[in-house]
Amino acid sequence: MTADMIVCPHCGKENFPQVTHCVHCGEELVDLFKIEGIESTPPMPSKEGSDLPEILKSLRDEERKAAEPTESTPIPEEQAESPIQTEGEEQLPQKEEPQVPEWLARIRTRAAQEADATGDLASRAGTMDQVRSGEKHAEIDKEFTSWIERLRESKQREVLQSARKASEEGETAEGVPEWLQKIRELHPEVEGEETQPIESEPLEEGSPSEGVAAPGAGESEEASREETQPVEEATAPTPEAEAAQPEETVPTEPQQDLSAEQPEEHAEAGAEAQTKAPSAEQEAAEILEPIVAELGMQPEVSVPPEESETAEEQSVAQDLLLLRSQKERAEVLRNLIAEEGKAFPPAHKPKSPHKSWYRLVIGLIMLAALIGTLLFVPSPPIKEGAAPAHVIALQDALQALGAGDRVLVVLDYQPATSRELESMAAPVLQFIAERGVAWQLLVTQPSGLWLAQELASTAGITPIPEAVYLPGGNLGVFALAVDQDQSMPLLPSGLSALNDYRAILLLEDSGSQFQVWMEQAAPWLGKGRFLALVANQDAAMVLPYYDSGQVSGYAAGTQEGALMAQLLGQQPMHLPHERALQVGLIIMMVILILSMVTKAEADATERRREEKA
Amino acid sequence: MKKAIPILIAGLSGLLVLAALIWQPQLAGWLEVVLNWAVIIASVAALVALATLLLAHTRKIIKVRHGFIYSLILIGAFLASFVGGMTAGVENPSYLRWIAAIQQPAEASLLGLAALVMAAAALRLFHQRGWSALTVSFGISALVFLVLGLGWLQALQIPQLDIVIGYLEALPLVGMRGLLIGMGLGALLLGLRIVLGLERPYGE
Repeated sequence: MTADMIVCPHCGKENFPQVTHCVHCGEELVDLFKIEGIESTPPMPSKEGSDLPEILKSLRDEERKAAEPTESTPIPEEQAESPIQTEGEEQLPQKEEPQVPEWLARIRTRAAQEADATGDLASRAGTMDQVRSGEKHAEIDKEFTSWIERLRESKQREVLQSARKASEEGETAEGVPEWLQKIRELHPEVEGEETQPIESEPLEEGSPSEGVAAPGAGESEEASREETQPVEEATAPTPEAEAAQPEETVPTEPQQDLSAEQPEEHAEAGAEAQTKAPSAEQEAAEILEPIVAELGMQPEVSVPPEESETAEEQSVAQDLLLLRSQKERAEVLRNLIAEEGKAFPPAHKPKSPHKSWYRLVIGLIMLAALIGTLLFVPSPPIKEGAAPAHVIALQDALQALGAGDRVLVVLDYQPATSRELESMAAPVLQFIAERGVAWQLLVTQPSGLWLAQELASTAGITPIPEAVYLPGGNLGVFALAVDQDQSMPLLPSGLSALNDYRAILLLEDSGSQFQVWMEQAAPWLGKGRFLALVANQDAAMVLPYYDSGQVSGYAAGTQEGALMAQLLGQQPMHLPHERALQVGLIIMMVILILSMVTKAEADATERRREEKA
Repeated sequence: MKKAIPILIAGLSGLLVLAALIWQPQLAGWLEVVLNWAVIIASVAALVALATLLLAHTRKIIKVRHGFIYSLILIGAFLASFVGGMTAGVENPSYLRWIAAIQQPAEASLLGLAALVMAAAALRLFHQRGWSALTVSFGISALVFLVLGLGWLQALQIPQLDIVIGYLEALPLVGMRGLLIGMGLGALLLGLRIVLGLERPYGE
């Protein structure tokens, strides 16, 4: 229960965790209600980049604090005095807040609250606070900073040793890297210039441990950097280096890492050496620039981060090790993401002219053949004795009709196929009219009204019988079949029930419409009542219904229609489009054969070309 | 409840039609009533569809959208047909001739265009698809049936050839029969699913 209570930092009395003000002294307790891991206050400003790990920030802040006394800042005295102040206690957290990391402040606050519950750790933390707030604060900070420095140095040494090992593999027997040998071969006069500043300047610096400046070590180190560019390391720069040049040498490219790492190695020598190291590096870069440009390599330039770094690069942790291939893949991925959602420009393919004119040629050939056939080719003679069974069955059904019988002729075709169906239906209508059969026209499409007139005039029937329009499509056909007693007011007047007709003659050019009649109407009427004259394309559709007995007989196409007329003793109508159909079939055959031949020729040409090649 | 009512109506309608087919005299009256409702609803739906079509194209004309000229032609043709049919009567011979003079060449041209497209496709078939089992079998079968369609081989009246021709001509009939059987089975299953409420083509 005690652990759940919060302690007012002003009066030291316990409060419930949900209160915002101390019930004893009335002070605000809002800061104590922070949830661990969730920041309600804006993060501390950081010049080195807000995306660094928080612990790194805190370490840098600690080191800054340690460095500040050397810069003659009287902060330690104030800090030493601050615990003694009693009236200024309320202002103390505000002064220290920018210097103490937020996570550390939270830990301390929590430790202070949970002193009893956390036991030893909290008591140590409290002791630590007391010590830090005492006179030994600066000394402890220095010790801590030096400890961190030692750790960092050992880490850097390990990294450099591993890099040297990798570079030794690429070096020649003389210990000179391959790339340096090439440069020396290409520019022997530049060799001296190149090595001179590298050898001389470190001596001026007077520190053999300064990486670039060291004669042998510096060169080998550079070589190791170049050779180990696939392994890009971006170790965290020392706090001193960041303090001196916080934004100058942040690595952006593998080549730039070299310049970025130099200040890190200078960190041991102090701020003065750090400021000089980049200048030496710049001189070396100026010397190498023409050689590098001639080799087509990317020059090593330390670009200020505000110019070269993107937001994504800033977010990468500086102690991240990246292979070159990884970086290239990341670059490709970044480009892909940048291109995401952008519209690709349409590929402008040059339109080949032959693609358009060959269609024109085909169309003209077909048109010429059609016109020539219609004008000059006579109709084919009808051969006797070739009537199929379904045509003979239709003939029998029609000849069974007599005077007084009623026949319903259903026009269910489109105007485009009217010529074909009229040539078939006209002789049949003439036949049943001659036999005194009462027939009636029913149309299921609005265009059927004038098609019926054309059919009657083609057949030479006068007066033209009135056609009845059946609306509703499939539903109308079904209703007409069901309405045996003609009680449905919505059906057209003038029609009898379908059962009253001796035969129903369907003139169809659509297999689906034929199915509608067979499936919606035939089940209500029984077998043997339907006859059909259909377009040639529907012959295959009607045959199963004929075989099953649902259709008494049928004729499909103009050839069977003419045969049917001949069997009925009527004059068949030889429409010229029969010839046109044949010509169309021949043209299609020729085109197909032509396609095969040209393809075979193209393949043969290709093979010959490959053999020659 | 919102979903149950359409399912109930569809199922009952289907069952009623099936029952009326079996017990025709007894249920014929009920079936006619249901059919009258269906015809009225279908007519109203057709009117609504017509109104929607006209409104959509009128909006397109008013807002001068891309292709509005076609909407203009559609509205004009509709108004001319409607006014002509209302004034002269839909069975007036002059009116019917006028309609026929437009409709017949238009539909015939469409069929001619289809023939041209098929010819062009036949020419490009082997160039685009190359030699494969599909293209070769298609080309051979098309050639065979084009030759049979001409009727010249049948006119020779050679008994052995007639047997072969009869066999070849039966192939599409066999195929169509299989297609019809498949369609019938599919229609049967779909009807059962609708009656049982498993399929809702009328719903969303």
